Amino acid sequence: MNDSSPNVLDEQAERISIIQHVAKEFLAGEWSNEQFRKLIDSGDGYDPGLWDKMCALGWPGLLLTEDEGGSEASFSELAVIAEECGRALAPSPLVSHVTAGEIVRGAQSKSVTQDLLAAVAKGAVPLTTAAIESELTNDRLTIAMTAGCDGDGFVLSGEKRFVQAARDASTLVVAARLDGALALFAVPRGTAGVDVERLKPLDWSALDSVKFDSVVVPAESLIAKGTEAERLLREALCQSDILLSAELCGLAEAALDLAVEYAKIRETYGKPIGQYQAVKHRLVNLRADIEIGKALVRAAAGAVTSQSAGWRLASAQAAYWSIDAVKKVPEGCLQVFGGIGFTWEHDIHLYLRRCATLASQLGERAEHREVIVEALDKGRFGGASADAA
Amino acid sequence: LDVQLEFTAEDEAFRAEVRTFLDGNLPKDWNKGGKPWKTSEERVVYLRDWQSKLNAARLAAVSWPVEYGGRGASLAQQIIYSQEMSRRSTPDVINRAAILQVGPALIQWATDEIKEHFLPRILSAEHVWCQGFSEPGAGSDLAGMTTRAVDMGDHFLVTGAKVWTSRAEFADYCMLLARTDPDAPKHQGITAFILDMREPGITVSPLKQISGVSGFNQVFFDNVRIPRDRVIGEVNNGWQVTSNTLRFERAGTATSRAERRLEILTKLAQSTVVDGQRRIDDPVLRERLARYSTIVQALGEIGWRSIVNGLKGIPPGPETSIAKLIWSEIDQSMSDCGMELLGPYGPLQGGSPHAVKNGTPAASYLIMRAATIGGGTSEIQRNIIGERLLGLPKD
Repeated sequence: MNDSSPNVLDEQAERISIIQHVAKEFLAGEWSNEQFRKLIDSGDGYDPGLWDKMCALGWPGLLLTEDEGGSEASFSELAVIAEECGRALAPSPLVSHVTAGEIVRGAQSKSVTQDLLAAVAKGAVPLTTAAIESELTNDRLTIAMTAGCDGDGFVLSGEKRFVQAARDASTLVVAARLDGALALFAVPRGTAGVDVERLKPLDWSALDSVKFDSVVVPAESLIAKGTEAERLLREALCQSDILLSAELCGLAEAALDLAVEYAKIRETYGKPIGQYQAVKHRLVNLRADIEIGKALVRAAAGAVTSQSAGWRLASAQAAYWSIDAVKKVPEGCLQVFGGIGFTWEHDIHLYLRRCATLASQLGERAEHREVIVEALDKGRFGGASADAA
Repeated sequence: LDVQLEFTAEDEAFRAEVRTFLDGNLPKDWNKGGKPWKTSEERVVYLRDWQSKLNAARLAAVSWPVEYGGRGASLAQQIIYSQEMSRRSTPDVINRAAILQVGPALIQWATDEIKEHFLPRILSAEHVWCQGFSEPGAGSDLAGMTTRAVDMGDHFLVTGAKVWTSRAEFADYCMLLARTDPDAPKHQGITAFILDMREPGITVSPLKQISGVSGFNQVFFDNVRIPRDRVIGEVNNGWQVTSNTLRFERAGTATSRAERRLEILTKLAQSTVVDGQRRIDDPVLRERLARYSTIVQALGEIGWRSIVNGLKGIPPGPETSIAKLIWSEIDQSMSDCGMELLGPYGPLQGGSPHAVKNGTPAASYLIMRAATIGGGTSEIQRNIIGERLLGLPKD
């Protein structure tokens, strides 16, 4: 080997590993599985105290510029924070707030006020996006709810479902049809006619159904329309998919760590179960599924960070794999635990519940499949990495 | 991506040198039509000549130290070298296995006399080498080998059989592992030898593969004599001699192969029509394609990362050994899929009427059985990952 080696411009990678370490330490100090179990009884979905501390660390404003009150971090940094939140089993409105914030921030409309931007940066009372409706769809941009004109303003009627942390939100970014075109409205949650009902998903997370009964909003609540609204909503959904996939990877890895440790000590027929290939190979397969998932999240988050053309495909691949494989990791881990894994006291079901719920928030598998195969059909065989290499 | 590479001026000069060499030495019509040989004997002559040209330009083994005829190339230059070679689809380096395994073992373990005699001849392809490791009864459990080398004082006498030995039908030398102490624990009683393939008592018998082509051999030894000074390292130390050899895996190679197979598969799916509909529009096949594309993307990211880490001097992480396992299984699965989607045309062999792509899908279906067997079966790979990476108890 000689001394000549290329310069590796790798400051970003350094920053990512530092922020991941900081997030891990913070969550290890502030959160535990016992605290997660308390959420089951409280029905709060997340711990407001923990969220306050996340806000104090500046997590809600990570993607914002310094002028906007943020810290200009990259999307890749946000993704490793989401992964650590998964590992720590720490639910929060982080993903729904940040992605709703990106819509508000990206909207060109003058009606996006400084107050709203400040709310995005601070996060204290989070924002969220209300897009999904009662009908299942293979394209989450299929929005049926309509907005009508009402004097200078608009009137919104309809129902949104599977809205993350709507009950606790300051503002809902609502997707509706206006004259047939997609439109996005920033609606204060306290507006008359907005009725929030908490759902009860497997993981007891803050998931809500929101009814809009002739909700009258002023003209400036319209923040984007037409192709701009489609682009903003699409990007927000993809970003949410990537961050939730990162969280799923963290959850899956934590579950696998538990199962591996158990396989080393639990004995049957005189030897540890991890010595049997049936168990050993199962655990290796789960590990491989996680490594693929993490690589896909890295690639997708990197594509968003560098605004590369492949971001839509990369996010579809991350989401597809989360649904196809990462979600199933805790299922395989539970099997390794056997009977004890079927008990309430054992923590493995917490990971199982959370992964199943998060994976259901990624849209339909078919939506992602079609994005991926369309790209193949158009002659894209490599990923973002192949372009760069 | 969060990382970019910048090669130094010195690296770029090296790239220019490789390109100039290829411009001057590759036949103009290389890779445009048929190969410049008609028989397998002519192929061997051509490839020996090609490697000696590479060596004359000191481009046969760039990773070897300068004092032994290499370049002492940095990882960056090794990447450049393999990029440029694969860009022009250059002819195979006939002694590639010897360059990657025999040479480094000799450099580390052999006497100066042996090194001076053999290393230059490996580089020039004056000697082509084969390797005698696997046995009919010892594949996954390589250390279970039973080929015996009996110590006769100034020489050893070898009796036994090896299998899956590429190039044995024309090789000049063999790096042979044989058991010298049958009473020692199985990893300890093995010795590595340099065996002259012209010694009496060696029978090479071609092994017809599943595809009907013979790419490998069985080699039988009946009291074959090896002089004592042809032991590599110490007697009974052969396991260490071979497992410490530098096995440089080019991280990008497997990925680009998987990408090419995905491309081939996609094109087959586009050109095959069922009930007036392209096969690629079949939702069941789309699920498989989505899965392949997703895994290939992940492998690309993992491969790229391992190159970047290599450049920074960080050893390969756990994802690299996992990537090898995944790669072999998905590559095999894609070739299965390619044959399946052709329906009854899939199994038609080359030369058959109506065969698609001259029977390539059927041929690669057969050949890709090896992906999950050669170089350690998937089962062995899973054991290794489970034990070394997850820390599970050995079975």
